[in-house]
Amino acid sequence: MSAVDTTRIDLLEHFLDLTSSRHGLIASNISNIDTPGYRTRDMDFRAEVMKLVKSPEQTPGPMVKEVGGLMERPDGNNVSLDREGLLLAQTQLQYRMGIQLIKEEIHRIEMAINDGK
Amino acid sequence: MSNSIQGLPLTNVDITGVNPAQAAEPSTGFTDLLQKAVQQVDGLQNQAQTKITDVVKGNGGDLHSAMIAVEKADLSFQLMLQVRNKIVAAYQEVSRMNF
Amino acid sequence: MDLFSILDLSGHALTAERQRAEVVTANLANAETTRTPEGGPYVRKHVLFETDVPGGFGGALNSAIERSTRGVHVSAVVPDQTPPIKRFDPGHPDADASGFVSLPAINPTEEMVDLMSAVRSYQLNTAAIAATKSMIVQSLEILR
Repeated sequence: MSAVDTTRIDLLEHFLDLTSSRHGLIASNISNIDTPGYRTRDMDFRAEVMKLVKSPEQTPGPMVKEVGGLMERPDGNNVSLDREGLLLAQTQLQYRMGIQLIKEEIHRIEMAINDGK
Repeated sequence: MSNSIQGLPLTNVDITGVNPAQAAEPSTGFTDLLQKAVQQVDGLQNQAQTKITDVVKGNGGDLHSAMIAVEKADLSFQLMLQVRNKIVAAYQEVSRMNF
Repeated sequence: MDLFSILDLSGHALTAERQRAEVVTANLANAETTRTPEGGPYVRKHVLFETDVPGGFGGALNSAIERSTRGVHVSAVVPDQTPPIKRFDPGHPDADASGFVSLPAINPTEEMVDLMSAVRSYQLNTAAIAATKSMIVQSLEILR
């Protein structure tokens, strides 16, 4: 859409990509909460969002790393029920916020196209 | 007196006051604009269709990407409609002028 | 990461936890079983959880995300290697020549704790499914 500035929509779309990717990681951690030897994985969400804001063009996938500082059980599994539960709720809210912002942006563009009607 | 009138170079004078080459340009400009808009709408609608198919078939397409693609196609369609309306309105405005 | 696959992933985890609960419940129910069709006392069993191999949707796994989102499955149900407990009870129909009965090496308290853990994990996975579902519904809201 060359006539319309969609940079904000594209940025928000990438934000939603990031959020749903993180949700996937959290769901994986939760899935494997009883798997012997499984290590919790996550991304540095804040850093990834900053990367996105700085260069909104197609960014490569987020960096996924093992999470440090977690308590390990005898079988080597370090998934924390509390941590994952908290992040689950947080990520869901972030996703919802992204959706809201996109809806507002679309509506704004629509108003501009249709002369405020 | 007749000499002075006969002496005027009438052949190169444009009666309408507008250069014929320039008169053609505005209408080409509008057609161009509308054509580009239609092409864009077409492209975006195809993209949206592909993304939706991916989601439905389970090819790993992101749902939010598909939704956004649909909205972009819709917005560009609305834009095209408005451009068309403006062109039609301008045309009607001009044809209402009495010469 | 697409939300429908994440739904699948959590679904498989629920299956795994349910299988675990089934095995633990069977252990509890058979804590005193001295006679089985295979002969001998009931043998305690446990499940082996294993992380899924990232097979993805058949496409190339070029992003770290795709390689890192992995589900879980029960790879095997294995019998416990602990020898049966011998209890002296000569009057018991299954007592051996020396008057000892072989009982499964099952500690009911241990099994109960295991079961509670399975229930908690099941609940957490259910919460993950609810969150994913809510995100899918919200995505549709983009279209008003």
